[in-house]
Amino acid sequence: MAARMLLSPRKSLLALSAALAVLAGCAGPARQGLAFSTWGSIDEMDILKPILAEFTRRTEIPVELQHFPKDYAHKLRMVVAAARVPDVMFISNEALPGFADRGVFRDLGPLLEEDPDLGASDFYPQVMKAMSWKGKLYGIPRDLSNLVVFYNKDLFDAAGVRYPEAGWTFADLLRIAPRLTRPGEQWAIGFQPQPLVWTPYVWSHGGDIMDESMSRCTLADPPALQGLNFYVDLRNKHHYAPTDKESGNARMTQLFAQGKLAMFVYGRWAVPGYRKKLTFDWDVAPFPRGPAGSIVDTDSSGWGIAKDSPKQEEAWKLVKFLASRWSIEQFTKSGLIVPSRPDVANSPAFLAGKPASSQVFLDVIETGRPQRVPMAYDEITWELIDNLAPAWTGEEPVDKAVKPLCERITALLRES
Amino acid sequence: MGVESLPAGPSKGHPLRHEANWAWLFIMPALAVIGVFSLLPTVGSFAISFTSWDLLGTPRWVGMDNYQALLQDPLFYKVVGNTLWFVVLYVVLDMVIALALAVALNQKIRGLAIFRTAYFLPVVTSMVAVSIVWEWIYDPGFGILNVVIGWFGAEKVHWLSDPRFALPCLVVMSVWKSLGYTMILFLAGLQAIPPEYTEAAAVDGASGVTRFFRITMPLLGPTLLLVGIMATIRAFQTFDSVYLMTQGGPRRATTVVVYWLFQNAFTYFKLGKASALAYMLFAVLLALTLMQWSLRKRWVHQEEGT
Repeated sequence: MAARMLLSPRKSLLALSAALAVLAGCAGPARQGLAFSTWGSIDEMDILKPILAEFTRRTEIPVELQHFPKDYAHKLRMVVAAARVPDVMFISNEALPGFADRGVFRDLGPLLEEDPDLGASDFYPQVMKAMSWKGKLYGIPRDLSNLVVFYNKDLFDAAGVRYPEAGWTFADLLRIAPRLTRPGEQWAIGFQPQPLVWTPYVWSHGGDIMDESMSRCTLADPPALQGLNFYVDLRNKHHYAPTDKESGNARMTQLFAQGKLAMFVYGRWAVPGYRKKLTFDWDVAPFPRGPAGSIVDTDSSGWGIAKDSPKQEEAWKLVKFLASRWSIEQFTKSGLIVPSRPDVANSPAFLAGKPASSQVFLDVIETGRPQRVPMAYDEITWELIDNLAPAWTGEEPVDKAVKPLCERITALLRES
Repeated sequence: MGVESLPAGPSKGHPLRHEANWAWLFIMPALAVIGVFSLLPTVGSFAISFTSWDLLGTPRWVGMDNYQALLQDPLFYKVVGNTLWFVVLYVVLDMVIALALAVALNQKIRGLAIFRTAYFLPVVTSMVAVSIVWEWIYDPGFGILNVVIGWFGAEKVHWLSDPRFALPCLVVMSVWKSLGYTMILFLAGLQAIPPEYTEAAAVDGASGVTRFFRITMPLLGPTLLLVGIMATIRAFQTFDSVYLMTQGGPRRATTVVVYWLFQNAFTYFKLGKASALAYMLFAVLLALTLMQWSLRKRWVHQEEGT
């Protein structure tokens, strides 16, 4: 009876549908200004936000910052699948191909060519290559990510060993390592299972994970096996690197900070923390030379524009502003990145402060190259980590672990 | 239904129709939610399981390829093995310990309410918080577990990074978390058993153990069945603890079906393969539940009488 006093059922249904429609509408309000997606730590956001504020002040174009600190590439894909593509997206060269291949990003090559303020020559050619896919440029690079050897000068001094310097070799590494190792307490060099960190050993022996056309795994070929064996021997044969038991849950970057590692292979992003934290004297040196040279990666991250964005002109303005000398300097000053621009790299913004030999990061660009990034990059990375684990602990010889792994990688490469 | 009401068309005033409309209206919010968030994705993912799709491009029809590829993938069998191992360990531990606790807490002892609350607390605690605490417990360097086994001269164990221990470690944590819930169900079952039965058996001279296995257990049949089915399903669906603590490692030792499904869908973006996996899991769960259901005649003695 009481219900009669309310709406009739049909009217109620209408009201409910209307409410649902309103709710659905909430999901897609008109955007104010440019949507810009990025990842990054809180410290990084503290650098980025004033840059964006400055952009809005100069151009009167508001920017809606979409910050996905974790699993960025995965979240970006969801956003793209939901047809809510941000106008401007920060992207790494590892994640780029998946999106570029599906036509999410605009080819920025022609824009850059015509632009009066910005040109390809403002950036290192290696990072331009990293931000390209099938010959087209999909991102204007912010940084150049490569690897060097961080070393603890105090430990070298205590052992009376000369610091590593450009041109030093794997043989040199084997020669000095015993003097920098005190079993159970101190190790000459770090050991990390992440593919990014051990690929320089493989590359510098002339091998690679896959061939240039990314159609076949080459990890079971002799040069790659030599590289892997050299790496594994550092730990399991010579004991110059800590075992899992010895390092416990500590990562190499922590062991280094604790003064228990003389050297380890790592990237520029460790610098801001080390500037604040390290109580000993430290510096960086290039990765040692192998039979094929001293080859580390030159990966990159940069800003791309959504091909379907209705605000192409404003988006390009933002990308240009972010990639300008002034903005890149802001990112560089904290020590966080190796800048994509030689003009910033060769200035105090990058070279001042610790480490004293920051120039090393720039010198190794010459011989570096981006990782090969096939469509199945994520899955292959997982396979590498899982299947090489028994080799890293010495339970299985490298050759035995690599053979089935390589077959699997080749299958994944052919799949896509 | 009266003949007179037939030509009346939309029959505005018919009380039955009217009531049906009201009924629809009342269940519509629930129906809409279930439809949009449950039914639609269920049907949709079945269709997706026959395609190759990476979320960005258009889905491509591949027929049974995803199912076939899964059956040929050695990793699939490892994942299935992990999952079954998890399920067996979990269900047995969860049920045995919870039943023992329920029997213990079914007596009149001091501080009963405190004990019952204490065992139920982990159930209402978020898995994220639980995982963080247990990560400390399992920590090889500072974890209390290694400290305790150290008192007995045992060497430090890398609980979560040793492929032999990682999965059992997750099982123990999951059992600890759900124990209170299972215990409550058993308590309810125990309290539904009329005390006259056990009293009569006691008068006949049956010992405590005999009374438990000959009177209590058979009468607990329906509860055992329910708890068994629920625990099995819960174990098959394990995801959060793996995601939070081991990410499927070390060396895939803790990659269970739902975690692998998640990886395929949202890390490798193989939506078709992930959906096929979901339907294979569904088929297994359905078969298991039907099996448990058909076994109920043997377990559930109460139903025989009625």
